[in-house]
Amino acid sequence: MATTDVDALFGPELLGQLESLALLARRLTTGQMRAERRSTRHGASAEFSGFRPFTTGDDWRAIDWNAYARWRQLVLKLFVEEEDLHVHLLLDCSASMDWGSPVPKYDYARQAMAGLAYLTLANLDRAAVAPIGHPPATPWRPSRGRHRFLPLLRYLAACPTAREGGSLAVAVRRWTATRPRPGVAIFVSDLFGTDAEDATLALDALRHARHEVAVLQIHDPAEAEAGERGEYELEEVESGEHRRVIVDPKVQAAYRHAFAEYQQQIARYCRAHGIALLQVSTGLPVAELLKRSLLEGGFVR
Amino acid sequence: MSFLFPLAWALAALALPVAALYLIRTRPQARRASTLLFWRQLPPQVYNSAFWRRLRRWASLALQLLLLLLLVFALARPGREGAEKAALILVLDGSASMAASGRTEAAQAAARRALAELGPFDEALILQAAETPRILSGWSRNRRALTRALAGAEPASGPGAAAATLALAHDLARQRSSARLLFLTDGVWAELPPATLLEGVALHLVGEGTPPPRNAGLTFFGARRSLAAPGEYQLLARAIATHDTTATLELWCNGRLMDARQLGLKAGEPWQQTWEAHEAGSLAFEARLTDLGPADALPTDNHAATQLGAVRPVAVSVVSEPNLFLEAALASLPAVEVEWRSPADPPPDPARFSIYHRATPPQGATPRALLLLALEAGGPWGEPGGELAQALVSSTREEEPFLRHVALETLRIGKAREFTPGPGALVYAESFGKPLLFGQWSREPRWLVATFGLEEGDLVFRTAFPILLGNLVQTLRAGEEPPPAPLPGEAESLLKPAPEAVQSVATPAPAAAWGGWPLWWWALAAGVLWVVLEWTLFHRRITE
Repeated sequence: MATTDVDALFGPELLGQLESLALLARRLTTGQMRAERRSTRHGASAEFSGFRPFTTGDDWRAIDWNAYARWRQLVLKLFVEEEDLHVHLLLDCSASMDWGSPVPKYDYARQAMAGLAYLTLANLDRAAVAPIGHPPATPWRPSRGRHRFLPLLRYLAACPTAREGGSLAVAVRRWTATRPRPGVAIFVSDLFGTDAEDATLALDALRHARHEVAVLQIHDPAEAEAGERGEYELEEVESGEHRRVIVDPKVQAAYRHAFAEYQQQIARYCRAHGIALLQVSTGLPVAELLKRSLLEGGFVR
Repeated sequence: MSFLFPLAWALAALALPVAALYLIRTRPQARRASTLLFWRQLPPQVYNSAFWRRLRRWASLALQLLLLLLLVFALARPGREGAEKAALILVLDGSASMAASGRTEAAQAAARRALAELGPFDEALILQAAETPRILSGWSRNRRALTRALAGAEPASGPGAAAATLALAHDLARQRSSARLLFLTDGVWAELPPATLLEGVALHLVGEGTPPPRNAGLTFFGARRSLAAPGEYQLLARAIATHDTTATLELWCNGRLMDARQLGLKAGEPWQQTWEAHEAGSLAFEARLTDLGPADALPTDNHAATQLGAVRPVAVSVVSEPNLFLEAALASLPAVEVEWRSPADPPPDPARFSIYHRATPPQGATPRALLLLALEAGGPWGEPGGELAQALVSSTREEEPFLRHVALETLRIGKAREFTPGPGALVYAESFGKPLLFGQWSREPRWLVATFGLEEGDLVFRTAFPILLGNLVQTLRAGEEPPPAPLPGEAESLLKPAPEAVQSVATPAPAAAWGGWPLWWWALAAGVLWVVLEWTLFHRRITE
């Protein structure tokens, strides 16, 4: 069962690791791996937001020469619309996420999301959190600055799972209908939809809304297996649907195959559409997951 | 149809818990799943369909109940009432050799198997060929009682009466129309039963195929008083061994060691030794064969005991006028108590040996033994005739024990009386067809008539009469000779099976069906195994 206790969910150990991850993110964006990373880009805008020092990789055309003349220091003049990157963190709140042991997928997703939000805020980008579920919950408006991190954690901890089941694509479309500002949309989900196409339709919806999409697909290790042999009355937590099954070695193998096939289908889709994808099980520590998200790209700019 | 053990049907009540447990355990385990997405993608399987599951469930329950029914049916031991009842006569060899190497236990086990194979209405009877035929159990259908009776089949200490027991078994078999005989034996018989008795008898040989056991033992141990001298006795011990071995024979008399000898026994060759001594009192002898080693098969033939009673005086009543010769002859005999009576006062005690000299016993007198000398009157013993002068003994029955060493042929009898012996009388000595000594001395009541007197002729100068008198007294003691010690005998001690030719007359016992277990035992075992497997595999859902 997912927890609502902010201290239990985001322990001091996780928070301690976030700072070092932020430093890693900064080194990656400014270091030798620059070519692999997306640099911060700032375009022209009427709304001045501030200056920041010129760093390697910045567009030299954005250097404020007047400021240079005054301070003898290369700085960039930042404008709101063009300097802020909107990172939409889409949290799958469907009931299927509230499953797993010892860490439910939902808790794991929120911890990962907290990490991503921290990296975003540390990078002076705007982080927004959108719960995806039925019915839609109140989203976390885009905000910037590290001081917003703690309220964001409280928001995440209090964010409930959806009471009703339903299509993933429909929930995502409902969010895109609010016309969020295009940016990076990181979808943290198990991608278990009503059918095999539901997840890809949801990702289609994100793409069509002109977002750069990244997907963090989480599953519990137990979901990859059919379980021990025997006769079971299965109940789907999301829809309450019942199904009686008899698990034998043949069924175990078929299930394993179906699961792997689904994962590959998602991977093929993402590859085909340039979507960054990370498929992880809850057995992987969150810090490790965040590190991989930085190294493999697509999640932080 | 009826049942030998109808109470077993009470076990049918187990159907209730079986059904209850089945209903409980067939409810599938509830499990929450995050999604059924992948389960829906699985190809449909026949046994996953609701119909198949329902069918399988009820079919499985029905099979279990059927199995329970069959088990209970088997336990109730069904049988057809109208079917012809079989009868079995089990003859267990009870000879001493059956004590060797667990042969009795093997025979009992084979008998139990044979009993277990009987139908519920079949009857059985158990005999044991011990020293005499023993009926361990009469005709009975009760397996438990029959099995209990088997436990009492202890081997005897002597040879088994196989022939007599088989004859009895054949007689008893005639009481039933379809009785069959099964003889459980080791084939070691002191006396080979006639082939006719073995015909139609199923022979189950125990100990067959095992190495022949080794044994050494006493085959005879007996003592007897000397006929010549009442106080003297002779002791005879005989021993034999199946193999070359040494042993020590200890001889004890009245609890004191009398002799100890080292025996070097050769395989199959009897060894024997005689001891002679004089002792008028009662004696208890014991022979112990020791230092035989651990491999001796029969303990019963390593020890023997016998007793010799004290020499009892023979009471003799003499009805005669005083006769010095007769008095001297009787006085020379040891352990004889003599009572003299006049002819007018005959002896009243019939237990005494009565001698009438020139006197006639009273009518109706039947003493233990009667010697009539110089008889003149007739009676049950015969009718007197004319006088016989200067008679010579022409022939005697020398084979008679009481005539041993009695030289009647040397006698000159001055005067005798012709007699026509009574019915049943034997003529022991005669003078050319005229009986001189006749009577009946080989069986009771003993009587002997001498047709001559002691004074006539040269009888008083000869030893014939004193020896005859001594022999007559000794024959009266002969009946008290003790039997030899009960021992298995040579054949049993040698553990030598009867020749195959004799055994082949009998039909071999049928092999135990299904590895020695009756069919219903196998059915029961299979049923139990089935239940365990079904419970383990099906209940744990690993058969699917």
